[in-house]
Amino acid sequence: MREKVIQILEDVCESDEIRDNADVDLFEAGLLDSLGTVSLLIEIEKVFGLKLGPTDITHEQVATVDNLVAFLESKGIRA
Amino acid sequence: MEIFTFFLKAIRHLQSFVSLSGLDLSEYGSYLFLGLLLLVLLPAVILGILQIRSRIYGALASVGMSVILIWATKLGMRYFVFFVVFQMALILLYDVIRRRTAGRLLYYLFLLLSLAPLLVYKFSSLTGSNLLGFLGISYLTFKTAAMIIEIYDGSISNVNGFRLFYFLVFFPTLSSGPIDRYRRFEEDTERKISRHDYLTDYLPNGIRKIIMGIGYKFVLAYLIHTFWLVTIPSAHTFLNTMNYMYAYSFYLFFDFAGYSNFAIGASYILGVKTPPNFNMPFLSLNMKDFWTRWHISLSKWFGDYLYSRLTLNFLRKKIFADKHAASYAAQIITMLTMGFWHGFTVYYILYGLYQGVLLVLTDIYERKVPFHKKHKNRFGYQIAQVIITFHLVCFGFLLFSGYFFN
Repeated sequence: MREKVIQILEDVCESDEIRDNADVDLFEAGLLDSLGTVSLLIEIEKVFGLKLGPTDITHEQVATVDNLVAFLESKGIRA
Repeated sequence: MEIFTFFLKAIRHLQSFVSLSGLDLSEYGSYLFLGLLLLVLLPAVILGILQIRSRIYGALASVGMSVILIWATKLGMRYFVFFVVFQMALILLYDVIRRRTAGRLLYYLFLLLSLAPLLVYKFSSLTGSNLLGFLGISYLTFKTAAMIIEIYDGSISNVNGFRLFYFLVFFPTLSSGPIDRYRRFEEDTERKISRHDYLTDYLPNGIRKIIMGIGYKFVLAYLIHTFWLVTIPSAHTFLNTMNYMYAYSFYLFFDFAGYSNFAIGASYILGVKTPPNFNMPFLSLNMKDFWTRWHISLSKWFGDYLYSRLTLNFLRKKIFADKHAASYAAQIITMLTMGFWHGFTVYYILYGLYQGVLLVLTDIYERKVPFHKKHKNRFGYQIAQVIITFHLVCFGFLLFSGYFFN
Protein backbone atom coordinates (compact mmCIF):
# COMPACT_ATOMS: atom_id res chain seq x y z
CA MET A 1 0.00 0.00 0.00
CA ARG A 2 2.59 2.52 1.14
CA GLU A 3 4.86 1.57 -1.76
CA LYS A 4 2.02 2.09 -4.26
CA VAL A 5 1.20 5.48 -2.74
CA ILE A 6 4.83 6.61 -2.97
CA GLN A 7 4.92 5.46 -6.59
CA ILE A 8 1.74 7.40 -7.41
CA LEU A 9 2.95 10.58 -5.70
CA GLU A 10 6.35 10.40 -7.41
CA ASP A 11 4.60 10.11 -10.79
CA VAL A 12 2.13 12.88 -10.09
CA CYS A 13 4.67 15.32 -8.61
CA GLU A 14 7.31 14.43 -11.22
CA SER A 15 9.85 14.17 -8.39
CA ASP A 16 11.92 11.33 -6.94
CA GLU A 17 12.50 13.09 -3.61
CA ILE A 18 9.28 11.88 -2.05
CA ARG A 19 10.45 8.51 -0.77
CA ASP A 20 13.07 10.12 1.48
CA ASN A 21 10.82 12.98 2.63
CA ALA A 22 7.63 11.13 3.50
CA ASP A 23 6.46 13.76 5.98
CA VAL A 24 7.05 16.81 3.76
CA ASP A 25 3.92 18.82 2.97
CA LEU A 26 3.77 18.47 -0.82
CA PHE A 27 1.71 21.64 -1.30
CA GLU A 28 4.11 23.74 0.75
CA ALA A 29 7.09 22.20 -1.05
CA GLY A 30 5.50 23.33 -4.33
CA LEU A 31 5.37 19.72 -5.59
CA LEU A 32 1.60 19.39 -5.65
CA ASP A 33 -0.75 21.96 -7.20
CA SER A 34 -4.28 21.91 -8.59
CA LEU A 35 -3.28 19.97 -11.71
CA GLY A 36 -1.29 17.60 -9.47
CA THR A 37 -4.37 17.01 -7.34
CA VAL A 38 -6.44 16.16 -10.42
CA SER A 39 -3.74 13.76 -11.69
CA LEU A 40 -3.66 12.22 -8.23
CA LEU A 41 -7.41 11.55 -8.39
CA ILE A 42 -6.97 9.84 -11.75
CA GLU A 43 -4.08 7.70 -10.48
CA ILE A 44 -6.00 6.67 -7.34
CA GLU A 45 -8.87 5.64 -9.60
CA LYS A 46 -6.51 3.64 -11.84
CA VAL A 47 -4.51 1.91 -9.11
CA PHE A 48 -7.10 1.38 -6.37
CA GLY A 49 -10.38 1.62 -8.33
CA LEU A 50 -11.64 4.36 -6.02
CA LYS A 51 -13.47 7.12 -7.91
CA LEU A 52 -13.28 10.48 -6.14
CA GLY A 53 -14.44 14.01 -6.98
CA PRO A 54 -12.28 17.10 -6.41
CA THR A 55 -14.24 18.09 -3.29
CA ASP A 56 -13.97 14.61 -1.75
CA ILE A 57 -10.40 15.23 -0.62
CA THR A 58 -8.95 18.06 1.42
CA HIS A 59 -5.40 19.40 0.95
CA GLU A 60 -4.50 17.97 4.34
CA GLN A 61 -5.65 14.45 3.46
CA VAL A 62 -3.23 14.21 0.53
CA ALA A 63 -0.45 16.53 1.65
CA THR A 64 1.98 13.79 2.77
CA VAL A 65 2.57 10.10 2.06
CA ASP A 66 1.32 9.12 5.52
CA ASN A 67 -1.79 11.29 5.27
CA LEU A 68 -2.69 9.80 1.90
CA VAL A 69 -2.17 6.22 3.17
CA ALA A 70 -4.38 6.96 6.19
CA PHE A 71 -7.01 8.58 3.96
CA LEU A 72 -7.14 5.61 1.57
CA GLU A 73 -7.37 3.18 4.49
CA SER A 74 -10.26 5.20 5.91
CA LYS A 75 -12.00 4.68 2.54
CA GLY A 76 -11.65 0.92 2.98
CA ILE A 77 -8.73 0.41 0.59
CA ARG A 78 -6.50 -2.53 1.55
CA ALA A 79 -3.73 -3.36 -0.87
CA MET B 1 3.61 70.45 9.14
CA GLU B 2 2.31 68.93 5.95
CA ILE B 3 1.41 65.75 7.80
CA PHE B 4 -0.50 67.81 10.35
CA THR B 5 -2.66 69.54 7.72
CA PHE B 6 -3.15 66.17 6.04
CA PHE B 7 -4.59 64.72 9.23
CA LEU B 8 -6.81 67.75 9.80
CA LYS B 9 -8.15 67.33 6.30
CA ALA B 10 -8.62 63.62 6.84
CA ILE B 11 -10.67 64.18 10.01
CA ARG B 12 -12.83 66.79 8.28
CA HIS B 13 -13.48 64.39 5.43
CA LEU B 14 -14.34 61.57 7.78
CA GLN B 15 -16.84 63.84 9.53
CA SER B 16 -18.57 64.83 6.32
CA PHE B 17 -18.48 61.16 5.28
CA VAL B 18 -20.35 60.16 8.43
CA SER B 19 -23.04 62.81 8.00
CA LEU B 20 -23.45 62.01 4.31
CA SER B 21 -23.70 58.29 4.88
CA GLY B 22 -26.37 58.71 7.55
CA LEU B 23 -28.96 56.81 5.58
CA ASP B 24 -26.73 54.36 3.81
CA LEU B 25 -27.46 50.76 4.78
CA SER B 26 -25.21 48.76 2.46
CA GLU B 27 -23.71 45.70 4.14
CA TYR B 28 -20.70 46.84 6.23
CA GLY B 29 -20.79 50.01 4.13
CA SER B 30 -21.89 52.55 6.71
CA TYR B 31 -21.79 53.46 10.40
CA LEU B 32 -25.54 52.96 10.55
CA PHE B 33 -25.09 49.39 9.41
CA LEU B 34 -22.31 48.88 11.96
CA GLY B 35 -24.61 50.07 14.74
CA LEU B 36 -27.27 47.64 13.58
CA LEU B 37 -24.69 44.87 13.41
CA LEU B 38 -23.65 45.53 17.00
CA LEU B 39 -27.26 45.38 18.12
CA VAL B 40 -27.84 42.06 16.35
CA LEU B 41 -24.58 40.47 17.52
CA LEU B 42 -25.03 41.35 21.19
CA PRO B 43 -27.62 38.59 21.89
CA ALA B 44 -25.35 36.14 20.02
CA VAL B 45 -22.51 37.01 22.44
CA ILE B 46 -24.78 36.37 25.42
CA LEU B 47 -25.91 33.02 23.95
CA GLY B 48 -22.27 32.16 23.28
CA ILE B 49 -21.30 32.86 26.89
CA LEU B 50 -24.28 30.81 28.12
CA GLN B 51 -23.08 27.96 25.85
CA ILE B 52 -26.35 27.91 23.94
CA ARG B 53 -26.00 27.15 20.23
CA SER B 54 -27.14 30.26 18.39
CA ARG B 55 -28.32 28.79 15.11
CA ILE B 56 -32.00 29.54 15.65
CA TYR B 57 -31.15 33.06 16.76
CA GLY B 58 -28.70 33.27 13.84
CA ALA B 59 -31.42 32.27 11.39
CA LEU B 60 -33.91 34.77 12.84
CA ALA B 61 -31.30 37.54 12.85
CA SER B 62 -30.43 36.63 9.25
CA VAL B 63 -34.03 36.92 8.14
CA GLY B 64 -34.28 40.34 9.81
CA MET B 65 -30.98 41.54 8.40
CA SER B 66 -31.67 40.30 4.85
CA VAL B 67 -35.00 42.08 4.86
CA ILE B 68 -33.30 45.31 5.98
CA LEU B 69 -30.33 44.94 3.60
CA ILE B 70 -32.38 44.07 0.54
CA TRP B 71 -35.12 46.53 1.40
CA ALA B 72 -32.48 49.26 1.64
CA THR B 73 -31.46 48.60 -1.96
CA LYS B 74 -35.14 49.24 -2.84
CA LEU B 75 -35.37 46.34 -5.24
CA GLY B 76 -35.58 42.64 -5.45
CA MET B 77 -37.21 41.66 -2.11
CA ARG B 78 -39.72 39.43 -3.86
CA TYR B 79 -36.95 38.03 -6.09
CA PHE B 80 -34.91 37.19 -3.00
CA VAL B 81 -37.85 35.34 -1.42
CA PHE B 82 -38.55 33.56 -4.70
CA PHE B 83 -34.86 32.67 -5.08
CA VAL B 84 -34.54 31.12 -1.61
CA VAL B 85 -37.77 29.11 -1.93
CA PHE B 86 -36.90 27.99 -5.49
CA GLN B 87 -33.35 26.92 -4.61
CA MET B 88 -34.42 25.13 -1.44
CA ALA B 89 -37.03 23.20 -3.43
CA LEU B 90 -34.44 22.30 -6.10
CA ILE B 91 -31.87 21.07 -3.58
CA LEU B 92 -34.29 19.09 -1.41
CA LEU B 93 -35.91 17.54 -4.48
CA TYR B 94 -32.61 16.64 -6.13
CA ASP B 95 -31.42 15.15 -2.84
CA VAL B 96 -34.40 12.74 -2.93
CA ILE B 97 -33.96 11.97 -6.64
CA ARG B 98 -30.21 11.39 -6.34
CA ARG B 99 -30.81 8.60 -3.81
CA ARG B 100 -32.71 6.72 -6.54
CA THR B 101 -30.66 7.58 -9.61
CA ALA B 102 -27.30 9.08 -10.51
CA GLY B 103 -28.48 9.88 -14.05
CA ARG B 104 -26.41 12.53 -15.76
CA LEU B 105 -29.28 14.16 -17.62
CA LEU B 106 -31.22 14.89 -14.44
CA TYR B 107 -28.04 16.19 -12.81
CA TYR B 108 -27.40 18.65 -15.64
CA LEU B 109 -31.04 19.70 -15.59
CA PHE B 110 -30.95 20.53 -11.87
CA LEU B 111 -27.58 22.27 -12.19
CA LEU B 112 -28.93 24.39 -15.03
CA LEU B 113 -32.07 25.22 -13.04
CA SER B 114 -29.91 26.21 -10.09
CA LEU B 115 -27.93 28.60 -12.30
CA ALA B 116 -31.02 29.80 -14.17
CA PRO B 117 -32.00 32.81 -11.98
CA LEU B 118 -28.45 34.20 -12.17
CA LEU B 119 -28.31 33.65 -15.94
CA VAL B 120 -31.69 35.34 -16.43
CA TYR B 121 -30.53 38.25 -14.30
CA LYS B 122 -27.20 38.61 -16.14
CA PHE B 123 -28.79 38.45 -19.58
CA SER B 124 -31.62 40.80 -18.63
CA SER B 125 -29.08 43.29 -17.21
CA LEU B 126 -27.74 43.61 -20.77
CA THR B 127 -31.01 45.31 -21.65
CA GLY B 128 -31.07 47.24 -18.38
CA SER B 129 -34.09 45.47 -16.91
CA ASN B 130 -32.34 43.50 -14.09
CA LEU B 131 -34.97 40.77 -14.01
CA LEU B 132 -34.76 38.50 -10.90
CA GLY B 133 -31.81 40.52 -9.57
CA PHE B 134 -31.24 41.24 -5.89
CA LEU B 135 -28.28 42.00 -3.66
CA GLY B 136 -26.12 38.88 -3.34
CA ILE B 137 -27.66 36.75 -6.11
CA SER B 138 -24.22 35.86 -7.55
CA TYR B 139 -22.84 34.72 -4.22
CA LEU B 140 -25.95 32.77 -3.28
CA THR B 141 -25.83 30.98 -6.63
CA PHE B 142 -22.30 29.78 -5.85
CA LYS B 143 -23.60 28.15 -2.68
CA THR B 144 -26.59 26.46 -4.31
CA ALA B 145 -24.82 25.25 -7.48
CA ALA B 146 -22.04 23.74 -5.34
CA MET B 147 -24.67 21.85 -3.35
CA ILE B 148 -26.25 20.33 -6.47
CA ILE B 149 -22.77 19.26 -7.64
CA GLU B 150 -21.90 17.68 -4.29
CA ILE B 151 -25.27 15.95 -4.03
CA TYR B 152 -24.54 14.44 -7.45
CA ASP B 153 -21.06 13.41 -6.20
CA GLY B 154 -22.71 11.70 -3.25
CA SER B 155 -20.80 13.93 -0.79
CA ILE B 156 -23.95 15.65 0.46
CA SER B 157 -27.12 13.71 1.25
CA ASN B 158 -30.11 13.91 3.58
CA VAL B 159 -30.16 17.70 3.54
CA ASN B 160 -32.02 19.19 6.49
CA GLY B 161 -34.43 21.96 5.48
CA PHE B 162 -33.71 24.28 8.40
CA ARG B 163 -29.92 24.00 8.10
CA LEU B 164 -30.15 24.59 4.37
CA PHE B 165 -32.26 27.69 5.00
CA TYR B 166 -29.77 28.99 7.57
CA PHE B 167 -26.85 28.32 5.21
CA LEU B 168 -28.51 30.28 2.40
CA VAL B 169 -29.71 33.31 4.37
CA PHE B 170 -26.73 33.54 6.80
CA PHE B 171 -26.50 37.32 6.80
CA PRO B 172 -22.80 38.05 7.50
CA THR B 173 -21.82 36.69 4.06
CA LEU B 174 -25.06 37.51 2.23
CA SER B 175 -24.05 40.27 -0.16
CA SER B 176 -20.46 39.44 -1.17
CA GLY B 177 -19.15 36.29 0.50
CA PRO B 178 -16.74 34.80 1.51
CA ILE B 179 -18.40 31.84 -0.20
CA ASP B 180 -18.84 29.10 2.38
CA ARG B 181 -19.48 25.38 1.75
CA TYR B 182 -22.54 23.55 3.04
CA ARG B 183 -20.73 20.64 4.71
CA ARG B 184 -18.30 22.98 6.48
CA PHE B 185 -21.05 25.38 7.54
CA GLU B 186 -23.23 22.54 8.82
CA GLU B 187 -20.38 21.12 10.92
CA ASP B 188 -19.82 24.55 12.47
CA THR B 189 -23.46 25.13 13.35
CA GLU B 190 -23.80 21.61 14.80
CA ARG B 191 -20.73 21.99 17.02
CA LYS B 192 -21.26 22.74 20.69
CA ILE B 193 -18.90 25.58 21.59
CA SER B 194 -17.69 25.65 25.18
CA ARG B 195 -17.67 28.95 27.07
CA HIS B 196 -13.88 28.76 27.19
CA ASP B 197 -13.61 28.38 23.40
CA TYR B 198 -16.14 31.10 22.81
CA LEU B 199 -14.37 33.57 25.09
CA THR B 200 -10.81 32.76 24.00
CA ASP B 201 -11.32 32.08 20.30
CA TYR B 202 -14.63 32.94 18.60
CA LEU B 203 -15.40 36.22 20.37
CA PRO B 204 -11.93 37.86 20.51
CA ASN B 205 -11.04 36.77 16.99
CA GLY B 206 -14.41 37.96 15.75
CA ILE B 207 -13.92 41.37 17.36
CA ARG B 208 -10.35 41.56 16.05
CA LYS B 209 -11.57 40.86 12.50
CA ILE B 210 -14.29 43.50 12.77
CA ILE B 211 -11.74 46.07 14.01
CA MET B 212 -9.48 45.12 11.09
CA GLY B 213 -12.48 45.58 8.81
CA ILE B 214 -13.01 49.09 10.18
CA GLY B 215 -9.31 49.90 9.71
CA TYR B 216 -9.22 48.56 6.14
CA LYS B 217 -12.53 49.81 4.83
CA PHE B 218 -13.41 52.93 6.79
CA VAL B 219 -9.90 54.28 7.22
CA LEU B 220 -7.46 52.98 4.59
CA ALA B 221 -9.82 52.40 1.64
CA TYR B 222 -11.57 55.66 2.42
CA LEU B 223 -8.33 57.65 2.61
CA ILE B 224 -6.98 56.07 -0.58
CA HIS B 225 -10.20 56.84 -2.37
CA THR B 226 -10.55 60.43 -1.16
CA PHE B 227 -6.96 61.64 -1.21
CA TRP B 228 -5.49 59.58 -4.00
CA LEU B 229 -7.88 57.88 -6.41
CA VAL B 230 -10.31 60.73 -7.09
CA THR B 231 -7.55 63.38 -7.25
CA ILE B 232 -5.96 61.80 -10.34
CA PRO B 233 -6.64 63.91 -13.48
CA SER B 234 -8.89 62.14 -15.95
CA ALA B 235 -6.57 62.56 -18.96
CA HIS B 236 -5.17 59.11 -19.83
CA THR B 237 -1.48 60.04 -19.92
CA PHE B 238 1.08 57.35 -19.09
CA LEU B 239 1.77 58.76 -15.63
CA ASN B 240 -1.92 59.27 -14.78
CA THR B 241 -2.66 55.73 -15.90
CA MET B 242 0.12 54.27 -13.75
CA ASN B 243 -0.99 56.37 -10.81
CA TYR B 244 -4.60 55.28 -11.25
CA MET B 245 -3.51 51.65 -11.53
CA TYR B 246 -1.73 51.68 -8.16
CA ALA B 247 -4.43 53.73 -6.42
CA TYR B 248 -7.26 51.55 -7.72
CA SER B 249 -5.45 48.31 -6.82
CA PHE B 250 -4.85 49.37 -3.22
CA TYR B 251 -8.36 50.75 -2.94
CA LEU B 252 -9.88 47.53 -4.28
CA PHE B 253 -7.86 45.42 -1.87
CA PHE B 254 -8.54 47.42 1.29
CA ASP B 255 -12.20 47.88 0.46
CA PHE B 256 -12.88 44.23 -0.32
CA ALA B 257 -10.55 42.74 2.31
CA GLY B 258 -12.13 45.12 4.83
CA TYR B 259 -15.59 43.94 3.86
CA SER B 260 -14.46 40.31 4.09
CA ASN B 261 -12.99 40.88 7.55
CA PHE B 262 -16.32 42.29 8.72
CA ALA B 263 -18.16 39.29 7.31
CA ILE B 264 -15.74 36.83 8.91
CA GLY B 265 -15.76 38.66 12.25
CA ALA B 266 -19.57 38.74 12.41
CA SER B 267 -19.65 35.03 11.48
CA TYR B 268 -17.23 34.12 14.30
CA ILE B 269 -19.42 35.89 16.83
CA LEU B 270 -22.32 33.74 15.59
CA GLY B 271 -20.15 30.63 16.05
CA VAL B 272 -19.36 30.08 12.36
CA LYS B 273 -15.77 30.10 11.16
CA THR B 274 -16.36 31.51 7.69
CA PRO B 275 -13.21 30.81 5.61
CA PRO B 276 -10.71 33.61 4.83
CA ASN B 277 -10.74 35.56 1.59
CA PHE B 278 -7.33 37.26 1.51
CA ASN B 279 -3.80 36.36 2.50
CA MET B 280 -1.37 39.17 1.60
CA PRO B 281 -2.07 38.96 -2.15
CA PHE B 282 0.39 41.73 -3.05
CA LEU B 283 3.27 39.53 -1.84
CA SER B 284 2.51 36.69 -4.27
CA LEU B 285 5.47 35.01 -5.99
CA ASN B 286 3.58 34.35 -9.22
CA MET B 287 0.05 34.43 -10.63
CA LYS B 288 -0.69 30.89 -9.46
CA ASP B 289 0.30 31.93 -5.96
CA PHE B 290 -1.79 35.10 -6.33
CA TRP B 291 -4.97 33.06 -6.86
CA THR B 292 -4.36 31.23 -3.59
CA ARG B 293 -4.20 34.61 -1.80
CA TRP B 294 -6.76 36.86 -3.55
CA HIS B 295 -10.52 36.35 -3.16
CA ILE B 296 -9.65 32.86 -1.95
CA SER B 297 -13.18 31.54 -1.49
CA LEU B 298 -14.02 32.49 -5.09
CA SER B 299 -10.86 31.04 -6.62
CA LYS B 300 -11.31 27.84 -4.58
CA TRP B 301 -14.87 27.62 -5.83
CA PHE B 302 -13.77 27.93 -9.43
CA GLY B 303 -10.85 25.57 -8.75
CA ASP B 304 -13.01 22.85 -7.19
CA TYR B 305 -16.17 23.07 -9.25
CA LEU B 306 -14.94 24.14 -12.66
CA TYR B 307 -11.18 23.86 -13.26
CA SER B 308 -10.62 20.47 -11.56
CA ARG B 309 -13.74 18.94 -13.04
CA LEU B 310 -12.94 20.17 -16.56
CA THR B 311 -9.37 18.85 -16.31
CA LEU B 312 -10.60 15.56 -14.87
CA ASN B 313 -13.09 15.14 -17.73
CA PHE B 314 -10.56 16.16 -20.39
CA LEU B 315 -8.18 13.49 -19.09
CA ARG B 316 -10.72 10.73 -18.40
CA LYS B 317 -12.29 11.13 -21.83
CA LYS B 318 -8.85 11.55 -23.39
CA ILE B 319 -9.84 14.83 -25.06
CA PHE B 320 -6.27 15.94 -24.39
CA ALA B 321 -3.47 13.38 -24.29
CA ASP B 322 -1.12 15.74 -22.44
CA LYS B 323 -2.18 16.66 -18.92
CA HIS B 324 -0.62 20.11 -19.15
CA ALA B 325 -2.57 20.90 -22.32
CA ALA B 326 -5.76 19.77 -20.56
CA SER B 327 -4.94 22.00 -17.62
CA TYR B 328 -4.24 25.03 -19.85
CA ALA B 329 -7.54 24.67 -21.68
CA ALA B 330 -9.34 24.33 -18.34
CA GLN B 331 -7.55 27.39 -16.93
CA ILE B 332 -8.54 29.59 -19.85
CA ILE B 333 -12.17 28.41 -19.74
CA THR B 334 -12.31 28.86 -15.95
CA MET B 335 -10.92 32.38 -15.98
CA LEU B 336 -13.13 33.41 -18.90
CA THR B 337 -16.14 32.12 -16.98
CA MET B 338 -15.03 34.14 -13.96
CA GLY B 339 -14.84 37.18 -16.24
CA PHE B 340 -18.41 36.59 -17.46
CA TRP B 341 -19.55 36.06 -13.87
CA HIS B 342 -18.31 39.55 -12.96
CA GLY B 343 -20.55 40.90 -15.70
CA PHE B 344 -21.22 40.60 -19.42
CA THR B 345 -19.00 43.59 -20.12
CA VAL B 346 -16.01 43.77 -22.47
CA TYR B 347 -13.49 44.69 -19.78
CA TYR B 348 -14.54 41.92 -17.37
CA ILE B 349 -14.19 39.36 -20.15
CA LEU B 350 -10.79 40.79 -21.14
CA TYR B 351 -9.80 40.58 -17.48
CA GLY B 352 -10.76 36.90 -17.38
CA LEU B 353 -8.84 36.15 -20.57
CA TYR B 354 -5.82 38.08 -19.23
CA GLN B 355 -5.82 36.01 -16.01
CA GLY B 356 -6.19 32.73 -17.92
CA VAL B 357 -3.35 33.51 -20.32
CA LEU B 358 -1.11 34.61 -17.43
CA LEU B 359 -1.72 31.34 -15.56
CA VAL B 360 -0.76 29.34 -18.65
CA LEU B 361 2.36 31.45 -19.29
CA THR B 362 3.37 31.17 -15.62
CA ASP B 363 3.21 27.39 -15.78
CA ILE B 364 5.16 27.20 -19.05
CA TYR B 365 7.79 29.58 -17.68
CA GLU B 366 8.23 27.62 -14.45
CA ARG B 367 8.45 24.24 -16.16
CA LYS B 368 10.53 25.12 -19.21
CA VAL B 369 12.89 27.98 -18.35
CA PRO B 370 16.18 26.74 -16.84
CA PHE B 371 16.93 30.23 -15.46
CA HIS B 372 13.87 29.93 -13.21
CA LYS B 373 14.74 26.45 -11.98
CA LYS B 374 18.28 27.53 -11.20
CA HIS B 375 17.38 30.68 -9.26
CA LYS B 376 13.96 29.98 -7.78
CA ASN B 377 15.27 29.52 -4.25
CA ARG B 378 17.35 32.70 -4.21
CA PHE B 379 16.07 35.60 -2.16
CA GLY B 380 16.93 38.28 -4.73
CA TYR B 381 15.15 36.36 -7.48
CA GLN B 382 12.07 35.95 -5.29
CA ILE B 383 11.98 39.71 -4.59
CA ALA B 384 12.06 40.32 -8.35
CA GLN B 385 9.25 37.77 -8.77
CA VAL B 386 7.10 39.54 -6.17
CA ILE B 387 7.62 42.95 -7.82
CA ILE B 388 6.82 41.64 -11.31
CA THR B 389 3.77 39.71 -10.08
CA PHE B 390 2.54 42.77 -8.21
CA HIS B 391 2.59 44.76 -11.45
CA LEU B 392 0.89 42.01 -13.45
CA VAL B 393 -1.81 41.93 -10.77
CA CYS B 394 -2.25 45.70 -10.74
CA PHE B 395 -2.47 45.82 -14.52
CA GLY B 396 -5.19 43.17 -14.31
CA PHE B 397 -7.13 45.37 -11.88
CA LEU B 398 -6.70 48.32 -14.21
CA LEU B 399 -8.35 46.27 -16.98
CA PHE B 400 -11.01 45.20 -14.47
CA SER B 401 -11.72 48.80 -13.43
CA GLY B 402 -12.87 49.66 -16.94
CA TYR B 403 -10.40 52.58 -17.01
CA PHE B 404 -9.57 51.98 -20.67
CA PHE B 405 -13.25 52.22 -21.58
CA ASN B 406 -13.98 55.45 -19.73
